Amino acid sequence: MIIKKIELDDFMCYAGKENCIEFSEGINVIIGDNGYGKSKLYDAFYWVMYDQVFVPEKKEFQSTKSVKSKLISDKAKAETENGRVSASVKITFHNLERDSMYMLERRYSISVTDGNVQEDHDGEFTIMEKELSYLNARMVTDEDKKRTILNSILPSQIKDYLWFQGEQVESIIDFNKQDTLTKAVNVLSNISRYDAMIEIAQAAAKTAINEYEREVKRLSKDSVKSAQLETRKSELEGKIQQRKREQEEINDNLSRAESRCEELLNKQADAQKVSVLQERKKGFLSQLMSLNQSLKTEQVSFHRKMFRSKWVLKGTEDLQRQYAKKFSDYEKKKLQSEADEKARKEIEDEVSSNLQTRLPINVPEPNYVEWMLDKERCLVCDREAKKDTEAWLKIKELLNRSKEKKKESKDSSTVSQDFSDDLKRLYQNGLSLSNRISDIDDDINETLQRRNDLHGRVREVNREIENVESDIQKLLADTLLTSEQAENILNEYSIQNQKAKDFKEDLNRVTQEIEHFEGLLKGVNDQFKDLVTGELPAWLVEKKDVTKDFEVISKSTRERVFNNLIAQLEHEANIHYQAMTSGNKSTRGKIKLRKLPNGNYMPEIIDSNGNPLLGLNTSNLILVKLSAIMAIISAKGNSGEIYTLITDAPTSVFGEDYTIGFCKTISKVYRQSIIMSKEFYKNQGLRNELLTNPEIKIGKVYTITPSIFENERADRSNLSTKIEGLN
Amino acid sequence: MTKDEFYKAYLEDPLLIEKNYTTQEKVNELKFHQPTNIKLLEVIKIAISGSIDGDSEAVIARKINQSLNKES
Amino acid sequence: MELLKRIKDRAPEYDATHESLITKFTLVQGGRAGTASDETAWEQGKYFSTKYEIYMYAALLGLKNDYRIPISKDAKKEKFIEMKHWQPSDLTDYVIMGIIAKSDIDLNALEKMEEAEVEKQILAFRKLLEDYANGGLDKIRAKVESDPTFFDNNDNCFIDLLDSQ
Repeated sequence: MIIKKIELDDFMCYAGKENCIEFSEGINVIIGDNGYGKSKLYDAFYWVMYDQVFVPEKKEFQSTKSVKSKLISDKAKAETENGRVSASVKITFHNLERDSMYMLERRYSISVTDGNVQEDHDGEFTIMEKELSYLNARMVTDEDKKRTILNSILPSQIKDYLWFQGEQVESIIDFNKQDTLTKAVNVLSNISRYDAMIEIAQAAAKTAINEYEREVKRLSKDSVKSAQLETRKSELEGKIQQRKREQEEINDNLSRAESRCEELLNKQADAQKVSVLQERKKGFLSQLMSLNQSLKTEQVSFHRKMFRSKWVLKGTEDLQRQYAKKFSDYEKKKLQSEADEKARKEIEDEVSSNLQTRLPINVPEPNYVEWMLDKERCLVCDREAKKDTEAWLKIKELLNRSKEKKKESKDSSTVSQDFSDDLKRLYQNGLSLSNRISDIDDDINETLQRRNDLHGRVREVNREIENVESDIQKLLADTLLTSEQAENILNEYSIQNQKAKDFKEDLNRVTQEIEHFEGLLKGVNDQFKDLVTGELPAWLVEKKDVTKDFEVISKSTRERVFNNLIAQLEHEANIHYQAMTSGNKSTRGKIKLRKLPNGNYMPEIIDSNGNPLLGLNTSNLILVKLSAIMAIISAKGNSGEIYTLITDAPTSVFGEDYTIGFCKTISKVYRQSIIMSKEFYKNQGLRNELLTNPEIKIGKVYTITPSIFENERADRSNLSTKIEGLN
Repeated sequence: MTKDEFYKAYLEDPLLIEKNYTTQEKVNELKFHQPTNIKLLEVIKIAISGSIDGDSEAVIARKINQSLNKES
Repeated sequence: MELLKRIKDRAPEYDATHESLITKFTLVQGGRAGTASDETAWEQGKYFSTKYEIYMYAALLGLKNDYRIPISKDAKKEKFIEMKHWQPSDLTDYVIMGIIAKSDIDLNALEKMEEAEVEKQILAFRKLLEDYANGGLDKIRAKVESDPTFFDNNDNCFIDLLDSQ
């Protein structure tokens, strides 16, 4: 059957009742980045069919009963204070042969009272059938018919290979797990029938051998000896059984160790990528450290500049000006007073120079001068000098002269302090500092700029670190590595390798022991035979032999059939693998399923000489697994014609070239497929190729976009999804 | 899988030729509905029939044992 | 004796009520000179390495805004290191220049004064400095009260404060 359309009403992030996606034959693609709703769309399909959704946190499917109202869109719940809210999904299938349609709908409802949610029990599931020639659809009520319809849409045996999520690819077909391997092979041919035959043969042989041995005992001539031999026989059989169990265990361990070694070798390439990225991260981290150091230095010195670069003087130019004025006034006044002083002195000097200067002071001595004044006579020239005459006054002058001198020195003894040097120093200091004041603003801004630049660079480097870190995480997630594993791959490899060697040794030992005991057992059986008197009935002997042969043949036939089926699978998988990798220039090799000691298989890629190509990295492995999954469907005749593939295969692991190859192969193997992909989201070129490549039978292509992006989803009450068709 | 197809799978086993139950030429021509004198082959047929018809393992084992009793 | 030297021999005082404000922003030093580095100051979230630094800052703030508040007579006063030890000395001189500029001293008359008079004048200078610094500290205190986040979330706070009126 073909899927015609899916309608989602208030289902998880698909809020509202207008979410409808139509499909046609060919490859239908839903494009969206991580977290955009691709997985939820897958869940919608799965939910309708199986009443379960995949819970990523638990990595398992859970039923509606457990998930409950989480199925319902948060937006719808937020918008309802009182009333019923439901999530429902309806898928319309078209049966091309019978020209009829089936509408399968599942609904889950809750009631809300005053904002409180009351969960419902199960939800409802209805199937409507419509023959296209009729207008009306009829509800299918018969439970058996419902089951038949479901099984015809997707038989339970192969559903895992048709509808699967990217995360499941690894585990859907683990070649080293007997159960998944057998399950896969069972699809191709009913291997369980052969297993049943082995059981039958073993049962029949056991009965026959018991009968035979009883007869041997009965015919034995020596019952004592025969009893002894019996005991010995049980003992040996017990030992053999025990060792066979041990052998099985060792085989299992050995297989696990061998396949783990293989796995580790494969992961090495990926681990390398991870360590390259981690180196880059380290580089950024050290860059960050030195930037932070510079930033700290900047910040520490910033406030120092207040004093060192004199920023504290901002706005104080006025002080300097005021002082300058004061200082210049001071200087002027000082000069003035100095000038005045000088002038005064000059006048005085002149005055004093007009005084008697012919003689030195105190010549003649004042006594004699006084005596001359009394006598009114000059003793030098012996002439009259009457009082108050010019001559008498001149003599008097001599006396006054010394008094004047005394007075002079007294005046000059009151000389003032001279602060002009200090004041001048203050002026010059102030001038030179204030000249720098105008530069302060620029200086501050420059410093702030420098600091901001550093902040900016720190932010940049932090962003780079974030990006590299998310790349690392993505790579680890895609390749299922943990970061410890990435570092320890070689270590673990040598450990596992050693284990494998040890197990091989153990195996040898046990095998030899089994052989030894079996030899002894044969000896005992022969001894038994020797004790026999008379003839054993021929038919009994034949019975024993025939049933024994039947046992052997049933085991070897089962193995042969199983191996053939594996070979068939391998062959078919290679067809797909070659098709998907044909566009690639690098060596791609061939898929080989190598048999492990425990009877399981390990996938390898070998070159044309049959030698394994080293480094089956994760993308190769996914390709191999996808090839195998497709092989299961394509090998089983025309299943691809009848059933639709729905998957969000991790195409990002492949890279561009393989993605197109993958799409080409899918469109050939399946009549209809629905692929969710993020690969086409970012890569426009790839998208165009998808839409235009003639080898790809393209169906409908849609993009989905959420209304709120993942990192802003603290409040989900407005989350809805936009669906846009591209063709 | 038909009974014939099932049967054919066992006919391919080399043991039949190694233990001289039959020859290669004869093996190619055998069909399920054809009776043979070869006890092993008859046993296989009983098992196939019983398995496909849904008999239990114990029942089939018993039938096999019975068929091998005192027959020549 | 030289004027400058005599002025710088003095150690100004501040109102003890500003003590907590000062220590909020100033690195507490061990001993007199103190040995903590700039880095320590930044790490501790302090902006000034010594008390005289914030004092100079406050004085200039007061001077430039012509804002002085005499310390009240009965206020307890704290003293710190003499001005001659203040670094950098050119800034110290500038502050003194500012004080002289704002004072109403007649410089010429000063020169002719008696020793005792001169001494009195120098004390007056010191007091003027204290008044302006007190004004500046008051301004800072007022800012802290009215807008505490200004200092808490702002690495540039004292630099921004330079712009204030």
